[in-house]
Amino acid sequence: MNLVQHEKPVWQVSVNNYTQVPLICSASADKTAKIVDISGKILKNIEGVHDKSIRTASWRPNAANPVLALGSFDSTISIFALESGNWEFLAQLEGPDNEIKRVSWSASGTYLATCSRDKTVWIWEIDEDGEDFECVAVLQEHSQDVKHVAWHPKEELLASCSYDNTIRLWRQDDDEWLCVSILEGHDSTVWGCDFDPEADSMRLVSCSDDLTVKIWSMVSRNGGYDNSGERLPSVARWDVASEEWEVEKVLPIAHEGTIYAVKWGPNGLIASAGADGRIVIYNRDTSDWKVHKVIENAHGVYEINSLDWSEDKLVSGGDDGSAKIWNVSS
Amino acid sequence: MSTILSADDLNDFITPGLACIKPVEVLNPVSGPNNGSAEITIGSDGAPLEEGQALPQAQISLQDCLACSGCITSAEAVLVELQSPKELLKQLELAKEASKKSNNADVMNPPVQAADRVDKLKRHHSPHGMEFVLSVCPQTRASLAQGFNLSIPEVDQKLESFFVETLGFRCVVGTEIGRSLSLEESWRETNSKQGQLTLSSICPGWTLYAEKTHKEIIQYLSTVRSPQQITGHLLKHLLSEELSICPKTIYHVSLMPCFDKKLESARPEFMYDDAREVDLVITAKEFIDMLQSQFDTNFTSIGNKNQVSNDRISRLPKLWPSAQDMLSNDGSGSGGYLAYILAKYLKDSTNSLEVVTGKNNDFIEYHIRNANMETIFKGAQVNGFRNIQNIVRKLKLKSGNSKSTTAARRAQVRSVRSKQAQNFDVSDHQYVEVMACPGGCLNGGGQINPPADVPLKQWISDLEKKYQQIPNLDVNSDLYDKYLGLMKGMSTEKLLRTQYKYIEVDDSSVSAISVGTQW
Repeated sequence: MNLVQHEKPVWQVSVNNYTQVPLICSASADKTAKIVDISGKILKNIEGVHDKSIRTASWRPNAANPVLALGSFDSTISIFALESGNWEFLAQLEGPDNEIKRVSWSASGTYLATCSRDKTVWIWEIDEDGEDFECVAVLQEHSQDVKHVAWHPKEELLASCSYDNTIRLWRQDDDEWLCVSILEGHDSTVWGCDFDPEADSMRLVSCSDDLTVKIWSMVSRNGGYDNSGERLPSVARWDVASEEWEVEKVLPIAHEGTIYAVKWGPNGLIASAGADGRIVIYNRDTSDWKVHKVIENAHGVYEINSLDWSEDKLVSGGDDGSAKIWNVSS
Repeated sequence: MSTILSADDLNDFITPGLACIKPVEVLNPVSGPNNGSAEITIGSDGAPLEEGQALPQAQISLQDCLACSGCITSAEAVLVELQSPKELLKQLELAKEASKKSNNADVMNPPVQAADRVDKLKRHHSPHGMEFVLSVCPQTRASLAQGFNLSIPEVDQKLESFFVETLGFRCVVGTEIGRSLSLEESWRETNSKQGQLTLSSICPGWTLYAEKTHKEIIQYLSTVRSPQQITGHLLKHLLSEELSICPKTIYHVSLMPCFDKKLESARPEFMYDDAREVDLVITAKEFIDMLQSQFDTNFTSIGNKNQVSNDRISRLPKLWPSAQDMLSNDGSGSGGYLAYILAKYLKDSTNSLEVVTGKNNDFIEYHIRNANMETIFKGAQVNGFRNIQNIVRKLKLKSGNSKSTTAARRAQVRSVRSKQAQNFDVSDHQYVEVMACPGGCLNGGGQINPPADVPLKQWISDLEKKYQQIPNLDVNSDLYDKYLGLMKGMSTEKLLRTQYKYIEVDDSSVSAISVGTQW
């Protein structure tokens, strides 16, 4: 079903699953973002805020009222909040040199991560009032355009993936955010990644221009983050933390074009989509991952840029300017 | 490219943009008879030839980088090529050749004319026709001491020995004189602003960033020149007067902790007459690489020069204000700018100091209270890009130049309602020492890296100890007046002050950006 129609491609769809009634935001190259309910009713059309394409949108978890972050090719980030029935333009964040590619809130709602074509990942901390943003880190280790950032569902663990073919994982140590792992294994641009929504799982799924979808899992960790209590807190910890992540599984090859989006659903299903206009759903039966369902030409002849889950429903956004919603039974 | 220079080294914590957007100007020689049309062929070596003549290669200078709104720092290739140790060796070689040639000429044509005699007199003091001088900042001396496990006096002796004995430099000086003038001038500037905010501007990474991206911030930047530039100005003035030589024949090399200091030295306003105050900046990293690759030696094996003192003094400019060993100044490893101002307040023993540690070690506030416990001065020491972001953001919100958002309006209301600020508010401060590198200048991009098994934090903390071991120059107003007296009627404005201006965004950059775009 068509949820919403933009004049230009939809770059990202984002579902707010934290409210009683899910809200869906579509961010578009037509410089607008639309907030709709699950029936497609437009609740808010955000326009005139960004000078260029709105590339990305993310809803803040753990917020009393819905709070939305938007990132644009005009290099700024805007924050909107629903207060007493009005969508307030709460704040604007500037700093990165150029196009924002993705914004993402941490599970606690304390941090907002943004990434940009300028090869950096920024982490912003929001204060208790939810109004003051402070930059707590500028991570500059990717050697190319950073395409995507995603947070772990429980821990303050951030993943970023890049045109440099790697995924990097970041954690906080004292007051610094440090790279704790570099996941190498894709042969081309890593366009997206998503953590397993199971709070205690240490798994990540990634999709790439190399036409594969891979599941990574943590195999070991050492240094810095040992919270077992054996260490005296007053002893300076000079050892740098690191984690080892390995490819646990390469999902069955099911795409013929660049895979732009991958999303791990609360129902345990993984969905991927991309340049071939195909949405592929994978499920895990007993021991192995299988292709569960394929939706061909989901947006006609157009490419699909983004996916998000709302319970058993999947939302997709494509170059045809539409956001669509699909029923997917497990 | 130098072998030890990688993109990592050049990353002085503020990354350059993706592509150079400076439109390259090619100087077109007056076209020949065929009215602008020319046949371009490719020579046997692959180089393009126009009508058989080699075409000039398009080059981008450091000045171009400074004037451009594109990348934040500059193309690394430009930096490395124009201000490298190789360039220094080239200059030394050129000077030697020039001196050989002119000596031969002297033999064949004995000087008869007055002009020639003057010329010869000038050369009397400089066997190579050029005078080379080196200034070394205390951070670099500490880095060399730490990197090679030496004492500071040993480092100074080795520097003296290598640059004077091996390379034929006239003398080696510290930058503490220039720094002391810079410190005192900063105090005078802050004091004259009657409570208005001043942001320090001696970090070239920070000032370039402000000039290229934050128009609203420039009004707050201190206009005091850095120790590097004041030292250069002093050296060129004193030496050229004393030796009666043209300032252009003095080649001043500065050993500095960071690559952005090269860009600073290239700013067009930093001139003494028509000579650059600083001709070349090299970092500790580049220096030790030069020893290895060009001299097949390392810093430890350079001999110590023990009879230094008298010998050294005889080579310094006669009027050089401090003939003692090279010194340093009190306070942070970035020069102690805030510490100097705090010390002025603390001279009054009824005043007291309160230190407020911020969110991280690179964000510390210092408040001075008077006998009635009223806050009379607020300063802060802010290092690193992320902390810079936060002060820039606060100042922009205050200036009302950012988009009108709900949070900004409420913040205004809040600050009116309650005078007691809950959060750090940079706009009610009087002086903020701002450095682009986390940890300040001791952790500059050109400093020697720790061995693989030593964590950076440990390394920096040990380096700080080394730095603090360097004896300090006791700076006071008398000293300032005495130094300025030596400049004999010279404009203190020219010696001590400079200006910063916003670099407008060039619309032609848009197309350049899209060329390099990868979605």
